[in-house]
Amino acid sequence: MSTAAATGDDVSVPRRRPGLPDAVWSALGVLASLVFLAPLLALAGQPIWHGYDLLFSASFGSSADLSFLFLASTPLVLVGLGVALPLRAGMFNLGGEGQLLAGAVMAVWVATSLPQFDSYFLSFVIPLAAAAFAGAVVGGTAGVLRAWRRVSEVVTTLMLSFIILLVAQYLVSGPLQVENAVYPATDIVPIGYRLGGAGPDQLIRWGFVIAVIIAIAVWLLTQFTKMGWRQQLIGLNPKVAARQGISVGREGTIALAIGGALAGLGGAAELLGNQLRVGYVFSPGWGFDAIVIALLARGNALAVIPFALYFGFLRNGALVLQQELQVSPDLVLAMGGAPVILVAAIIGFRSYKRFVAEPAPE
Amino acid sequence: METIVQSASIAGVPLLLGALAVLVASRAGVLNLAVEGLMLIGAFAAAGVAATALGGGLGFAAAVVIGGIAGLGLGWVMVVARADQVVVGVAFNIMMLGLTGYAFGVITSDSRDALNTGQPTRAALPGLSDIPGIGPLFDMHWIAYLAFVLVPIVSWVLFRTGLGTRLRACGEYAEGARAVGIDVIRVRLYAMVVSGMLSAAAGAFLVLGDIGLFRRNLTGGRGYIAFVIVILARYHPVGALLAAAGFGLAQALTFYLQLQGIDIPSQFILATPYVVTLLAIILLGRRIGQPPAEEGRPLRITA
Repeated sequence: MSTAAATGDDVSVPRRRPGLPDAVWSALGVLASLVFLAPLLALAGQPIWHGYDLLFSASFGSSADLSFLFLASTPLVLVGLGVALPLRAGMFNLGGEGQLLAGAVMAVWVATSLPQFDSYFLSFVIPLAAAAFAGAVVGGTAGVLRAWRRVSEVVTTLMLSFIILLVAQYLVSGPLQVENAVYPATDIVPIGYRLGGAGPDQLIRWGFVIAVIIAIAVWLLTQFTKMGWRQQLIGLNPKVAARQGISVGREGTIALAIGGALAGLGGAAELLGNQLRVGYVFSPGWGFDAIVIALLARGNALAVIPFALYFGFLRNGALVLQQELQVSPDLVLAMGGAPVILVAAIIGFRSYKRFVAEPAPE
Repeated sequence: METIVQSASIAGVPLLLGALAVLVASRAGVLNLAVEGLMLIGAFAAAGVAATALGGGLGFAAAVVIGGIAGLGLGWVMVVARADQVVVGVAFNIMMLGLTGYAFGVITSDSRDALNTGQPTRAALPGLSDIPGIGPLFDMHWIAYLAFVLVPIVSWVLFRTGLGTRLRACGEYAEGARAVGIDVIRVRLYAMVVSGMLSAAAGAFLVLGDIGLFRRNLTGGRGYIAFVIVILARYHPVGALLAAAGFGLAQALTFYLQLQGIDIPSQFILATPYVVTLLAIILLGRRIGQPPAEEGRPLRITA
């Protein structure tokens, strides 16, 4: 500690804060965003209670509605994990949008160009592995640029997203475009590669099952492995981590690469389980929803699941509100962004007050 | 040639204003990712006011005032409450995309032209607009000239005045700045107000000087492109002018080649500025794009 003070380095690691846990604030933020729907509906001159009724019945009205909820949440869980895992290592992955698209394009390319496999296992694993690989390359590139060229991943992940979006648009309107198409889109994924329903009444799709299993795996990875510990440490304080002999650049790159792989899987799960082809517009902005989800979940992989379900619920409900009340589905974005600002401000303010109240021990 | 220059300069002006907004905040040590959202509310406010009888001038004024207020609010959350700047910036952008998109839907369902400001007006500078080749540069909406004039002004304030030195001190070494008596929090709040005003001005130009109406997601990621420009510009206003011109030129070329029926996929040209930036980062590495040391770090010393 004394050498640290002499060199002016900040070696403090944030300690647990007194008062309500951050998770409670996140949950309260979600409730606040639900309340926020009322003035928005009033602004449009719509009946408020009817609006809430529509919002909830869109996802919980029947078992079919419930299966739509799971379908809508699947990419959000995976891309949310893709942001949450690097977040633990102190990396902001703002490029989920590009990584999931890279995964989807890779998966559709593999699934439409490879011959049909006899093995169910191979036709299940190969497109997903290809998508994860594509996402990992994108995420890893940002990690390498950060470690090697010291350029913030905030900028490079975004920039790579822009490039991938353009490349994907080129591919679906050129080399990968289905023959005789009137609009730019790829061929449809053959039946053997699709992710269908699971369980007796097909309520839950395989895509969602995979997403939950991966969330649990990521949670185990972050909680019980040395790699998880190293990444947590570089997130909490890179200087302390470096003194422990941890290569901050290497661990950060791995975290971003895994994050990219998870986001790529999200794109593949959406492709193989729902859209079945990549068109000009593939994602309605899941990459950005994922940032909000990961932040509300405070980087915890298991907490990503409920927050992703919440955003799936909002997106699902927004579509019904659009059909029934002719209001724009942008409602979801307005509702989703507000709680994060609130929660971030509260958490920031609390940690700052704690810092003032008890200065770091010498 | 003249059409390329014209569309390049129209495409470049909002990028330039956005880049200046990023730059002022970064130099003070605040990572203002909210530029995209601030542009959107600026555009929305400008369209809402200018579409009425009040006119474009008041529309611009309304945008700048609202941008300044929003910048102050964001500044409070980021600088005083010390919330995570990336988190707040991204969440603000998502929220503003939602709010303006939703409000756009509500307003235009009542009256279709409520946010339509009509054909952009141009104010040709006598003499200058007749120069062959670069003439169109001086035949734009007056907000564009304001943007050009702001480049030397921002440079001068940042690098030649005491205020600029104090601001940069907050961006490079906040504890030191505080030790010599600079009110870091206040300087950063002011920087965020200016950043909000500049972003909103960029949005106002998009409506009044380029597109002529507000629509959903009008900015389309220009606020994020501004960050790429600032990196390429090495956090200098003159560099921002050059980099914004480069990005504008790429957009203009795409448009031009499509008109000419030349068969290069438009996406390749649109991707060129990003690829160039990426290559510059890889080749030049630490010599470009190094942000001010304190960018994104809240001031920790208190009491």
